[in-house]
Amino acid sequence: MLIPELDIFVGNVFIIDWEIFKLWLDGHECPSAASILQQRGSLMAGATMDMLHGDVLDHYRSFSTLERLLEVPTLFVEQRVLQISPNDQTDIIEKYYDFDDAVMRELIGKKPSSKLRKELDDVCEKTGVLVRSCRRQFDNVRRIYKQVDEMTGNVLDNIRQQFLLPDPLARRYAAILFLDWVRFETHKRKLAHLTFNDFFVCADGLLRHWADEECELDKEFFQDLREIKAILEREKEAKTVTLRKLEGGRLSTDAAGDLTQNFRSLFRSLVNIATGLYRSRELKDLFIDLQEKIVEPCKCARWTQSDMESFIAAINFDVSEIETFRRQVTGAAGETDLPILWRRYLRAVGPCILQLFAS
Amino acid sequence: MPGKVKVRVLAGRNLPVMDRANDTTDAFVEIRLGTVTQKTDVCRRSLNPQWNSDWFRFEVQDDAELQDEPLQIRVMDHDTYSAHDAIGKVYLSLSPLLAPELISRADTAPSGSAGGPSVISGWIPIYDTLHGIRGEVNVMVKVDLFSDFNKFRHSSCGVQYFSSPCVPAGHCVQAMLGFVHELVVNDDPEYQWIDKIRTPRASNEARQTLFSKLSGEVQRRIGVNVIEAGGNAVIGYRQCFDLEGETGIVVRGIGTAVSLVRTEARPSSPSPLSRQPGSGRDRDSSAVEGSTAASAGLRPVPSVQLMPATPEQEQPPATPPSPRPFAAPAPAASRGILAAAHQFVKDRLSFRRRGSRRTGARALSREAFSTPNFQPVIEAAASSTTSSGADTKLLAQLVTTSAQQRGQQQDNYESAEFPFITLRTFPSGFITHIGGTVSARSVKLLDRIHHPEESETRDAWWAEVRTEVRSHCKSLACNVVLGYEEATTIWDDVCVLSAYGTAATVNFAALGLSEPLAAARCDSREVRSALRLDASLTSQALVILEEPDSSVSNCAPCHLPYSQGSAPASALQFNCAVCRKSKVPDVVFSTIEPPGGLPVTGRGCLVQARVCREKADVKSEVLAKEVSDRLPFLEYELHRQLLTKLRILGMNALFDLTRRITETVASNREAFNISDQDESGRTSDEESEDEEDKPELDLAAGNKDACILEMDDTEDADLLSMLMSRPPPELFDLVSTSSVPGVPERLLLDDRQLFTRIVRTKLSSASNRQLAQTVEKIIQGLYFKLRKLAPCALCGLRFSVDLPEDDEIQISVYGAALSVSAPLSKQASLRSAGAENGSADGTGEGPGGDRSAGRAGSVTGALKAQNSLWRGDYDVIITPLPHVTGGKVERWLGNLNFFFIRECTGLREVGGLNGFMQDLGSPRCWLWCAHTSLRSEGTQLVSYFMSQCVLLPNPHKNQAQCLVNVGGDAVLVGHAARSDDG
Repeated sequence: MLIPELDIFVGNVFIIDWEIFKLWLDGHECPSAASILQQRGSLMAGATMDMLHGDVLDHYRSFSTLERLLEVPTLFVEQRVLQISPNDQTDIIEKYYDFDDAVMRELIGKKPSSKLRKELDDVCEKTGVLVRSCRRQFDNVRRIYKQVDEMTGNVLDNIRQQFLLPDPLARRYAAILFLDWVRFETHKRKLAHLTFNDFFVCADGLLRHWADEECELDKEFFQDLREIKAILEREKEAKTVTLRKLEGGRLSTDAAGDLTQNFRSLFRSLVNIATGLYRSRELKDLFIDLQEKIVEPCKCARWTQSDMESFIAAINFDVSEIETFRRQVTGAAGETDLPILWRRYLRAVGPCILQLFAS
Repeated sequence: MPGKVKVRVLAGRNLPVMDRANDTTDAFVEIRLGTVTQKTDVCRRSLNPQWNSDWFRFEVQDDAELQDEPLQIRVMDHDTYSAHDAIGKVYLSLSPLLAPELISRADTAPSGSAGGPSVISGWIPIYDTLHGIRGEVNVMVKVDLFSDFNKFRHSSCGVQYFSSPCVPAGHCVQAMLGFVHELVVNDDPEYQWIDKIRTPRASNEARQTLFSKLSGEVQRRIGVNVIEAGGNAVIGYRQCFDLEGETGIVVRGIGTAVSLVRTEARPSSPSPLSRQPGSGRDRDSSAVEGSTAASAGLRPVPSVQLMPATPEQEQPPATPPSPRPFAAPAPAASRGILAAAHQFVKDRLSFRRRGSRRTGARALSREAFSTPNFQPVIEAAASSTTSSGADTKLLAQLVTTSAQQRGQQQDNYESAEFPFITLRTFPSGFITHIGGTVSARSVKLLDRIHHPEESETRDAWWAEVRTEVRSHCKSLACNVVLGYEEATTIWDDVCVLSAYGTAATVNFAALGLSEPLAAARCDSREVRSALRLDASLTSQALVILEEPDSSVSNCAPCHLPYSQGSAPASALQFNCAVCRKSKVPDVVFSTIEPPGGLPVTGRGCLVQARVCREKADVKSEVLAKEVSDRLPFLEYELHRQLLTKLRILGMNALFDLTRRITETVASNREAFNISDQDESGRTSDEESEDEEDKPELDLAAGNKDACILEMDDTEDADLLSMLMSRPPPELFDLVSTSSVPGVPERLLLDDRQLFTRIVRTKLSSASNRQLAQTVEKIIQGLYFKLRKLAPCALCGLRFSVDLPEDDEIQISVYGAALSVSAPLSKQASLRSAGAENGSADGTGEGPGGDRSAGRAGSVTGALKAQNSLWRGDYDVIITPLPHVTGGKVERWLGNLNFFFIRECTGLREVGGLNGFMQDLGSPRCWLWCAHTSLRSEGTQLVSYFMSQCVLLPNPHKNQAQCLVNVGGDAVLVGHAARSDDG
């Protein structure tokens, strides 16, 4: 049968076929999308492969029109090239800007440059996601990165307003941008087993507790954190306080034994990481340090997840419970508030450790 | 009337980048009306310029200019050194602003918008023929008209146009004034010498401007005619552009002039500009009076007076300034007569209708008109149902001498020359008998139009064709032609003009029944009782045909209007199954929607006949001759196919037949729908759909010189294969009418989608079979594309076929997908033999599910919930149907008619022809949207049409060009009413 030179189907309202849209987002070329649909049994009685193919083509053409508009979602919702119901508009934007965790895992912590774009083939190989889809996800990140980078103000709000994304997705993007801006090391072999979600949880925690609304880390806080070194001198007391909190069988036997022996090294690592954060190199290595110095030793000592949870809760003691500091605090009012610093530090790092430990 | 147009340009947004160097644009706006151009300041370096200009004023001598000339708003990019670049243009037709809203003013006033001079304001898309939509511009336009009594008669401001082929909802026809038509010819800028040196873009713009202007001119001229006839609106308005190529452009408009009133508005309160005949102003000279008299006599007696039950109408004489001075005495008489309801009296009353059934009396009405003492006759018979069309075109301007009065009568006589009505939907009772489809064709050789101002040749051509239609109509003993349409097909310099319609006898008195529905109910009894006698209706109709809704069924329309003896020998006739008295033909073909109240059995479906013939490779005169020689054969063939298909389906009537002959050799298409009333009633339900809609196309194409000699058996085999078109899948209904015959209205829930499909493909041989396959495939494709909307009914389908090249065929189809409530699908699944493993909603409910619509209630409820998601989600809904399914038209905002030209110089880059057209498809819709919503938030466009879609691809140059003519009526829709009835 001849293939018609022209064969189009245009509707006044754009009724999106989510199934085909998904295939398109997944980067399938038209023929492969059509054959997938065929296998799923989308052919009604009497319909031919030609029709299915034509239908997919029609949709794909509309999608590429959509794609141009979707680059600026605020314009997309105003556009009238395609009449789309408001509900569908929201869903389309969300789905278009949504991403595969596996792909995003490969992209985080790197500047979204054109060099990176060229490496997407590798990402595709690694994740099994089609290149076209990888490109879309990359381009989305790059677009958001560029635009939000130039803006001031609340990053989360900026993402929400500029790209009309729902809150959870905007939060994920904020975390991605944050990881990119700080260039956290995320690709060392030791971290290779971590998923995007792990990093998201970590980054989200850091953002909440250490950064302002512009996703700028509190540099002053890092400087102040250096003071924490002082706690190291009171390590024994800290150990007592911690262990007291863990009394009553809150730890498994393995962990309890290990902790009494190795509290010193764990405590030191924690404090050292904190005091080093003002150096941006060490900041970038935060995850790897946590992994190497805390998570791995504990794992070796066969701690369980709940052991770790209890420990994190216990170590987050009130510094003022330690005699020396109590005096210090009360004595020199203008001095840095150690208890507050310690709490703020652990509030972000604690969940990170837990997340890293869990995976 | 002189007038003042004031324009303010506020801002622009999303303009394209015109200055690559700094990624911005230095935009300014030129506003042009006629020959006057004004400019805004340049807004530097912004893609979202704010001009906030002062008011630009244009003073215009005559409102005619305002109607002809669109306001052109052109957005430009300022260049210091080189010529300014055009960004794009907006054409704004000012005529909606001129309409004093005599019909809808009453209810707009409170809403505030119509307080002072009318205003258009809002964001309008900027359109460029090369780049499509390029941003939007925000403008305000006001028009102030100064009333000028002296030139009063020339002006046609205030006439409303409706493309809807029915009486607009919320209105009531006071008088049907007749067929109006106009045509304007001009040179086509594409073929002027200057085109050799200017860019295609420039000539496209010139063309688009010209089209817009011509279309305004045609409308204005028609308006003048309407006003002279005493009307205030044109319904069933059709406008066509004939691109004759070298010889120019012809823009034609036809319509039915009426005088409309809103049902709420009393006829006695005409708005200042309304031209109701007999309103004070009209009466100031005796000449005018004469004409009023004449037209009053001519006019059918308004329903008002025939239906005493409506309160306000009960005392017609009390209506203070009676709009019809001469007709006024009549009602009393007519009421008396009606009351008597004697057959004899009735006979006299409706002398025309009945008279024509008795042979010999046929010419009575015409004689009446030509009688020298015309006036008395008219007065005496004023209440009769005559009327037909005033061919107002020929109405000379009135002067005050009596000599001219006689001339006036003569004109009135003339005016009955074309008793055509362009509507397709009629109130029940209006049509007394359908005679049959009449058509006339004429093949002409185009000659160069030497004086663009003179359109006589074309006028004469059409007059010929119309006369022929009329005479066909007369020979069927009918007095009017309904659903009248005209079309042309052009191939090189050969042009085929065709006109077709449905001959019928009508009862004008019934017109008024349509609108105030409640009134119709109470009053119909009387009128009906007369009708019954006349048409021998019986109440049995109810039982047999299960039409629970209409208290009175009416089988009369199908009865033969002529006596048995006079029919052509071969015609089969039966006794009517409903009344068992009158004779009915075995098959009814018509070009109109099935008349209301007509009992219908089974369900409508689409029937198509397609014929394809090769034409010899000859040119001009020889070709013209060949075409005209063959046309009758084509028609015969089409007819035969239709008939056969119908028989196979067991149906007996076709309605809504459209036919068109495209020319390279002619492709004909016809769509019909029919309702049957006798026999098909008895056909088994499984396969009977009795209404059919069918496009039939026949086209003979091809450049081979061989003419195929067909032997009977091959032909029959061919025919057979074509006849076996697959039935629609269970969840679909396919019709070309605006509702699915045989399916109660209430089951149609919602407009879901307007779809357009355009397919262009090679036609390897001009065989009927290949054509049939192509069309069949397109239809199957539609089902598939719309599978997610099922169950749905595809209504208002319109096919058109073109042969742009010798070996290429372009078929476009558009229609509306309506969601249908479940019972329909149930029945459908039954129909498709139940074996078709299960439609979603179990088939177990038992047969006849769709008959008892009451049972549908619960299911409908469920579906309604689902459907509510759809409503209000979209800015603008467009539908080809004249009504809003599931909604109620609250206000008519105006008629739209655009001609777009779009070109593309990077065909490959936009994804080939498909990409180009798809791109075009959507902006076209969105232009609409913007324009529609401009007019104070119109939410819907009804009676959408795409009358022309010419695609000129040039893949070798990587270019393409496309011309599209689209239009419709903008309306404001309320959905509230629906939510309670369900």
